[in-house]
Amino acid sequence: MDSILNYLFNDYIVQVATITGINIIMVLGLNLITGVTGQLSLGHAAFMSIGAYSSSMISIKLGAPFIVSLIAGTGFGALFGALLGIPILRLRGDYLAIATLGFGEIVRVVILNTPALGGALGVYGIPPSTNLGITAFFVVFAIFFMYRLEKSRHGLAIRSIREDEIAAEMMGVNISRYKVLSFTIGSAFAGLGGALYAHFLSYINPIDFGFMKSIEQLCMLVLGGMGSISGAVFGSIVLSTIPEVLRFASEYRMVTYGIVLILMMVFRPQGLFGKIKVNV
Amino acid sequence: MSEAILKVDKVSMHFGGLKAVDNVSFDINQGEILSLIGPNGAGKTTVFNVITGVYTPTLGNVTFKGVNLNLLKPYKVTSLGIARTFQNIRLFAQLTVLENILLAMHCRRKTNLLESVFKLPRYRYETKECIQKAEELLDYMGLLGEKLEQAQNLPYGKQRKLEIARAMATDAELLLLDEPAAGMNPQETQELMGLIRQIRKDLNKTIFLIEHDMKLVMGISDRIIVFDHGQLIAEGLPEEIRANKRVIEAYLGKEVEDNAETE
Amino acid sequence: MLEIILKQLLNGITVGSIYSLIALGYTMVYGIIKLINFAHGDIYMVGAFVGLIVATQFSSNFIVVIAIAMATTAIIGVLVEKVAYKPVRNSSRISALISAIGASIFISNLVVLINGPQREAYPQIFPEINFNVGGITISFLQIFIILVSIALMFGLYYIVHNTKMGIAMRAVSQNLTTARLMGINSDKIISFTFAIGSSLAAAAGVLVGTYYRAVDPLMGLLFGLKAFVAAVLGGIGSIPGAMIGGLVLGLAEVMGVAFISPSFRDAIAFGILIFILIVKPSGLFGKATKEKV
Repeated sequence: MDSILNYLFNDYIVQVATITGINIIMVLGLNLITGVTGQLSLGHAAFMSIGAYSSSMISIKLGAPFIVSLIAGTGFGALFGALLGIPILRLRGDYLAIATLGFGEIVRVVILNTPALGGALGVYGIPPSTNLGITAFFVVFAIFFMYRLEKSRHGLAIRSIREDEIAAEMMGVNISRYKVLSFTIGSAFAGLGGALYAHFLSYINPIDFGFMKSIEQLCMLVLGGMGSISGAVFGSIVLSTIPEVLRFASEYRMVTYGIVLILMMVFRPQGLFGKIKVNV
Repeated sequence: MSEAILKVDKVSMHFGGLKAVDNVSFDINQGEILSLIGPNGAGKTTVFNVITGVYTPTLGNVTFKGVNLNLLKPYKVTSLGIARTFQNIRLFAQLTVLENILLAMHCRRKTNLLESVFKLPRYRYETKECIQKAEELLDYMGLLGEKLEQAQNLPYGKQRKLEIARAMATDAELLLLDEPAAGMNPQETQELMGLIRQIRKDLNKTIFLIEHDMKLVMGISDRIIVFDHGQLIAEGLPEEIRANKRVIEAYLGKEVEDNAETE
Repeated sequence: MLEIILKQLLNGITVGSIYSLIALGYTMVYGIIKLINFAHGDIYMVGAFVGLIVATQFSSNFIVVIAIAMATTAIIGVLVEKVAYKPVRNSSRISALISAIGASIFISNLVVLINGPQREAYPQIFPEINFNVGGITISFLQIFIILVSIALMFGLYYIVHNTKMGIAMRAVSQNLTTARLMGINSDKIISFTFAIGSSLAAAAGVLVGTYYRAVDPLMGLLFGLKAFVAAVLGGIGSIPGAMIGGLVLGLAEVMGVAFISPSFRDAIAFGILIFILIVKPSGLFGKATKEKV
């Protein structure tokens, strides 16, 4: 499968496509938290880093097979998502956003100062097991999972929290449980993305998972449309490929991100493909 | 007289120095329509909030069919069989009418996350059953035609109706309606009155409502309780309340000299 | 030992008073339009850079440098509000916050584009004088920074409590709609708030440049976020809260560095943040609010 794909596309395109796929997986996770549940997260990259580091360590130190590392990365993402989700449940809107941001910074600083995790030097020599085929498989799985989840009775409960938290609780929804569930699943996908990412580049560094990474993922979601699966997918594709096309203008990239965020919020807050207004 | 389904026993709700509800006791009997009236700021909605678990009463107890509700979270109270509407409509605006109803059935459903994501047989069966029940309810309320509309696109009167339908969909025995006729014209109010009576008769619900529209209150209630400044000042049949001196004073104020004397 | 503690205490108060100056901007804006002005940290960075340009190109007189930096940055702050915040004022909170994040990224990266991402040395606009009190060396610069901060805070306090603008500001923060109905031009008040907050941030930027003798285009993000933590710590929306919150944070950081580990310096503020948010989200001086049902 992979060799056919390699035959069809050259290495560079395969590389961009793989990174795009990984971004789609992570942004779908963010969409669940922010777009579907209505809880603005500014620390999604932290869960990506947790997935990346845990899976890498398991691959390198234990020599575990790739699939085990992926499961571990996903599991650690989920675990930390739940651990963060539980205490910050009571927070709303911008307070929650700031708490997730703070959590992201703490994770980064801790990794940076943990010699066992490579500190500022990062981790080298991660087996490069991720390829386009595996990534594509997980993209399809993520889309399927998120679609079915959103349509299910549990997804309905989660969406009702976005619409009106108090009314949802009054109608019998255990909102704490569903918020934690949303954080856990969303972070699990970030962890999976991080694990795929680490095993694709075979080198990771704390700098790759800073606040700006979280913002980049949020940009993808906002551009495509919060609360929309197709929006999350298209937003990820656009912002993963355009910078590659416009490589000669790479220094304008971050400035453009800033403008995109403002313009989208002023003129089309529901994103290019979204229909939902997320009120927080 | 039939037995009490809900007992409010010496309940007080204080916010700092403010006694929003002050040592109030009353019962709601199985199958009756009980109305709560009183001037603005009398503590009516606070009583709803205490019953539904938004607030834990500062003093006293609320029991529903023998279960103490004081420390239960709102979603637990709902699963016991109490559901409410809101003074300011709080529908799930961007969900469809049908989804609003289905959500309210949430607490009666049992399928877990994996069953629902992978659409296992039990989930499919449960969903089919729920949709059927939801459509029956919408039909009963005259909203079936709009089932795929977003709730925010319904006209005002239908939004009010949908709120009542949503509360009913939780399978509640006791419905708390917070000013269901607010903002309605006389004809709509008349219709609503008929609907509430019908619901009680057909579905055997107990109804506790807050309302300002006296015509509705007098026409529909089996009993009325009256609040003023957080205290229960009167309780009785509609005709008794209409003639009660303290109630009239609460609404219209006392004579000036009278005021000077008592204060 | 005592000497070390006193020295660290002074360091903490110095940094803390700068946090306070920035935190005031966050808290005032939040008090009025309920928005975390994410770009505020970058405004502070711009203030430092304007100060740098003035000091290297025109005059190294401290008063001139800080005055021009404050004035220029006040204008930029008002512009940011007009472009990025005003159009989304009636949108959802999440839209406004994302727009603010956009403004922050835009400003910091625009400076990167113009200046390059590298650190710039800050000229010595303040003579380095140290003096000895009972065996402890005290840098006069630190005392000066603390004094300037206190003076600016008193100035703010005066404006908020004794001028027509200040009273209008407090009215708008109580209830924007009512204030507007009472004939207050709320747009003007919001602009004024951004101007004041931004100029305080610019002052902080110049002070930091003078203190650390270096500035860089991305310094606003982290330092700004920490100042925001200070505002939350004191109780967002509360002016005295921001002042105290800044000092507490500055001291906590310095003590953490001295007695725990310097490498976790940046995690301390965020640890405090999460702790405060969980234990008492209204902060030390804020009022708790609960949504009405």
